[in-house]
Amino acid sequence: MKKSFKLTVFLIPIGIAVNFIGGQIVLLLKLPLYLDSIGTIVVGALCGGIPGAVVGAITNLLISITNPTTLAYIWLNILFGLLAGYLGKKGIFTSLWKTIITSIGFAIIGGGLGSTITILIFGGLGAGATGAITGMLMTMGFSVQAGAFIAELFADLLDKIPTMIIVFFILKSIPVRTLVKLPQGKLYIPNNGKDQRIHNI
Amino acid sequence: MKGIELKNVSYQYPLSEAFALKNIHYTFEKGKFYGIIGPNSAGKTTLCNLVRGLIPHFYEGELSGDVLIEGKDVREWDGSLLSTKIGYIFQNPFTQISGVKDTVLEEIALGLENLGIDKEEMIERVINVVKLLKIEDLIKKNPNNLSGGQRQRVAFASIIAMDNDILVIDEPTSQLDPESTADIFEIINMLKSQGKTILLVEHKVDLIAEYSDEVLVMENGHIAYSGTPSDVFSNIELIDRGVAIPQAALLSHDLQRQNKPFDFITITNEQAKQQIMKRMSCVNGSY
Amino acid sequence: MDYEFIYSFKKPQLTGNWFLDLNPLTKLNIVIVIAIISILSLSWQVSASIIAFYFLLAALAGCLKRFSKMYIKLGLLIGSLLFIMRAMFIPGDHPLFTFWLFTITQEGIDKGIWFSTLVVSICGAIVLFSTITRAKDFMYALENLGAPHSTSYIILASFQSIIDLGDRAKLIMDSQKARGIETEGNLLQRIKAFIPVMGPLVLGAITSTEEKAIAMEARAFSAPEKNTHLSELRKVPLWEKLFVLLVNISLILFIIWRFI
Repeated sequence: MKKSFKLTVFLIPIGIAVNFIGGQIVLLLKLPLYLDSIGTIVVGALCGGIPGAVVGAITNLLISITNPTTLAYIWLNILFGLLAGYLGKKGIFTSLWKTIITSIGFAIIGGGLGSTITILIFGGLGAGATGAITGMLMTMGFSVQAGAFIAELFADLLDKIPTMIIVFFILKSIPVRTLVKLPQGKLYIPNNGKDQRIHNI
Repeated sequence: MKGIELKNVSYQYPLSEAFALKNIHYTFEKGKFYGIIGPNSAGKTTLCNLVRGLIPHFYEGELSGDVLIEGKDVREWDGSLLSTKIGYIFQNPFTQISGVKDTVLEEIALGLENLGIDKEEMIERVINVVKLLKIEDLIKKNPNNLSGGQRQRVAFASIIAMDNDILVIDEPTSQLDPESTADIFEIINMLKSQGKTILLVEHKVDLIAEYSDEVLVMENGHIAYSGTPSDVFSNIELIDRGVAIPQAALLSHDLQRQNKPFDFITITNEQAKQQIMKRMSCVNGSY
Repeated sequence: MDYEFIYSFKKPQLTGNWFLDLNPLTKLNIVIVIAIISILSLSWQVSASIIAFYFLLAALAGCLKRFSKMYIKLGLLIGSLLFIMRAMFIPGDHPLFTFWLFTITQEGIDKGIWFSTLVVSICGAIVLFSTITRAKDFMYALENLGAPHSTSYIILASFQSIIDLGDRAKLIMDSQKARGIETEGNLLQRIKAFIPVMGPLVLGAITSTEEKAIAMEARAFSAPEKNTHLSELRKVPLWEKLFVLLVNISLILFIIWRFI
């Protein structure tokens, strides 16, 4: 386990950078998604919940340097990491359809907890597109809570389904010689690697 | 004096059926320069990993036999202490830069910081190594913006500053241009003259022939040939088995086949040149 | 050789600006106190004064230009969004005017002004802190408090990884474009373009961690010794300690005055 921990330290900055770059490529390609938690979930899945949560928390802190209101949502990124660690340990990410189903879990954190934070801190009216949708839903007769919840859950599910598909294929493509050095990596080796050949360097 | 002893060592990487190293029996003595050659995936890097203690401290897998570093079994060494004993430099100039320091000066000092060296000594050591490697013009630059050759020199400086007795150097020039390669070999030669034990994996056999005290030829995970450069490279079997040998030795072997041998099998360009000069003066003298 | 540069590391690296040279934790303490005052005051006038005060502090640190460039844009964006949301959607007994579906009320306007100045003032604390503090100094201060040096590595390496991966992403995207992969086109095409950029990028980065770990291990990354530092912070002078004490006492006095 100690050996695995060594590699975890070096994977955390990569996870953080992946979150960042994911978000930036989305902007460059003008996609209506976030795709900014791929690094958190991949590191959580490979190294466990705590390293995943660390990736999420630091990503959030670094983003909040330029966009401070993000800081209020740090708990989401932490929980994404923890959930990914737990699901990874259970072996969920080795099957594509199970992985896709987990997007509901991530969307409930992102949408459910996200909207709760929006309500608690921003009175439901955050400074973003979902804030405007919430406002519209409120004028249509929904309560603040219901409006924020529906708006954010929907936005989050739309984001987490492609996120989880990408995560699945990333995990599937990591070479065995890297997987053996990660705390939860061995779970992703097909047939526990019995018939896998590994090249030496 | 014995530095690193390998006694009947075999090793398989995790989940791998094949042996990366097979029945290695060899002793690396202190203060000598070892050149390690052989085709790709012959086990050269694995041998480095073993000698450097990365096997078994970083790579799991099946290790059998004894690896003694300064007389102590590698399994009993604290993995992190080995890094203070044995320096390691490898081919990729990019991953060897830490990415956490914003000047070359601080980058070189990083290893010393981790060793807990006090500041006065740290500064002295960094100055010495900067002078030694002639990288005075780089010290204020950001290491993350340097070229490959410059980064590799900084990587050498960072390891040399830690003052290890043993240096394992794995294909340091394979990603560099000829000019940077010459710089790196100059550095390696200088380390040799300081009495360091050096294990160098390198495809450029001409250079290996010139600098090595001992040459190891690896093939399929075992040491196929070993001995002084002239012993190893005068063996004609090497050519038949497809092992690259120095140009001078190749020429020597060719002449021998044509029954016009040199006085001995030359292995460095200098030796070959002298033999040719000698022959030419004979030719001139006879007329 | 530039000995002046080398020997500059013998002393703590100071800028000569008294505010910039404060210990990172002192600065953190100050901005937190300011943010708390803004929250507890429940008054937009206080929050607005604090926003103005940041510019003074930034000028004091000689970073006015850098701070303003970032903060004004951010403040206007977040502030106006938060204000408009509240002004439009919060119901109240004092309607000012109505258009389409919305009724603008005095309550909405009041809440909007208070909340937007509050949030912008808290954001200012974060922006100011990051403007006047270098990440490596902050991490060094945390190490002095007992944080393991791997935390410093993680944070500082993250910054560099973001730069490195960003450069590689650009490289990959350009080569994808050159090979005719559509990066503009319709939504589906653009989503499809994401995968061949992100895939190799992430996989390359993950597999490179092995070499990174080996390289850092060769630099005694996990050596048991307590590590030393080439670049050090100065020892916190007495006047700075008293200054922090004064700031914190003012906060306590403010709380007492406000709530008791």
